[in-house]
Amino acid sequence: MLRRKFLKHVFFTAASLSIPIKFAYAKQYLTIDQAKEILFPNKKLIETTVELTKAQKKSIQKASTIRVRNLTIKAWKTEEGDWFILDQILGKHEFIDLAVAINKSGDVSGIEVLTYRETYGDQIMHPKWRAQFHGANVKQFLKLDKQIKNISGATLSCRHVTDGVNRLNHTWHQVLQYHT
Amino acid sequence: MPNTHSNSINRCKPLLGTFVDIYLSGNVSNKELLTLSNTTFDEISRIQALMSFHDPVSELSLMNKALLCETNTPYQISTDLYKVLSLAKNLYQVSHGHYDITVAPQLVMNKVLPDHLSLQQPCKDFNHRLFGNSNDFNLYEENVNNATQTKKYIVNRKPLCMDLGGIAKGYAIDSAVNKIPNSITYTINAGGDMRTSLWQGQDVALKYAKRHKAIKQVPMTNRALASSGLYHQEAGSHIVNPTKMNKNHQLMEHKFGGVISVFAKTAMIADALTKVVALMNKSQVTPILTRFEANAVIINRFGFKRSISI
Repeated sequence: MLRRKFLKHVFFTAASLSIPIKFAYAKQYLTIDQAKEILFPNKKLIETTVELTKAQKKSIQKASTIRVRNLTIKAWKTEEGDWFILDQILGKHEFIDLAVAINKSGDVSGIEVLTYRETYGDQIMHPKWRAQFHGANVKQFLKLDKQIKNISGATLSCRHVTDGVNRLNHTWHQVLQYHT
Repeated sequence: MPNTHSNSINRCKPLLGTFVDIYLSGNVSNKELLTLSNTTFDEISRIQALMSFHDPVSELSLMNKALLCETNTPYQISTDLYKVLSLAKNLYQVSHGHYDITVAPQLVMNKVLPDHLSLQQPCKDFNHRLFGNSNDFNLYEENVNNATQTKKYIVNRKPLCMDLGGIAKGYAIDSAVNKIPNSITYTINAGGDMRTSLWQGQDVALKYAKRHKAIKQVPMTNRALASSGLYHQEAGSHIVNPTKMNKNHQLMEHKFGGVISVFAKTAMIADALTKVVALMNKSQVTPILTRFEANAVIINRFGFKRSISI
């Protein structure tokens, strides 16, 4: 019994040291409804999901030179013909959720970040394992996002946002402006 | 009836070539906070439109075109641009030439900046060997009768091309902060260049390399912080040494691992000083940091930290 307990201890300790666990940090700025109210204040938005065909995807990719990851465009439309589109672009290592407003002339009238994600972390053991083994409180293993409000370092370019906007511009010109 | 309930708003938008995170909190309504956040983002956009090198029709780009093709001709500039250029000129002098915003032609050649001014031949009969440096421009103000504000001018004696880079980002942050009432607490973080009213007793996490665990926690020693690091750069260093030239008469690229962070009273000063700290040794940079009431934290790529304090 004691021997089994000792071997279990050795096994989990070895596992904790050898498996790097990344800590995903997600900062929620706005909900979809909050972004709608900021980008189209007091306007009625009608849910208008658009499914791109493979041919349309290929055409947009060719024109923008940017990869189209999703055939489904989650969007809302105003009665005047403006678009509110949910989009994702790549940040440092994780995806960033954006809300993009395109007016009826096809111009981008605003962009809001909804959720910013990044990966940090040390080789911390999965909280569930540690809690099960030592009976410790899981919260003490959560770092950074609970204690540090601000992070600084080399600047991350928002070049991927520019690429994403380019992709959406071509999507509007080829597909969305004709959508009824 | 006054609103005694504390509200807050946190928004993030792509601006200044990065992501700008604005947090505001105070005993005002959510609507007022939203309006204030719009005001601060609008101010940042306004400064970007004035000072972005990447924008071919910014005030900076139009000024650069004039400074490349005409010399000894006063060129009128805005008060905002005048303030930034004044700091840049001052820092050029106190750093003995190590801080120099006129290195843009080298950065264009290194493909760190775009060449929308066609620097090989921006105008007829141009000789790129004649490029000057920050010693070759002066700024002055002119009083106009019955006007509340003076007119500001730059005049150059050699062709010049300037990049304001991070100093403009810092100025945009400072300008946005000036729009926030004292009763509102704030944090503006533009890709790591930041200013906050909530700095006392707080720590900040400094990322010193691309790998996930390369983070070090340090106490904040002033309300503005700027950091400079190369680990995201794909096109080489954005820092060249204005005082060192190679045998091909090109300014030498300055590469460093880790991160250099400067705490100061304003984001503009903090950002400008990161370049000075990068290029000068401790004994040279300490009096400059003291003069601007700033301090620096340097973390190398292995996570070893050292400080240069006031």
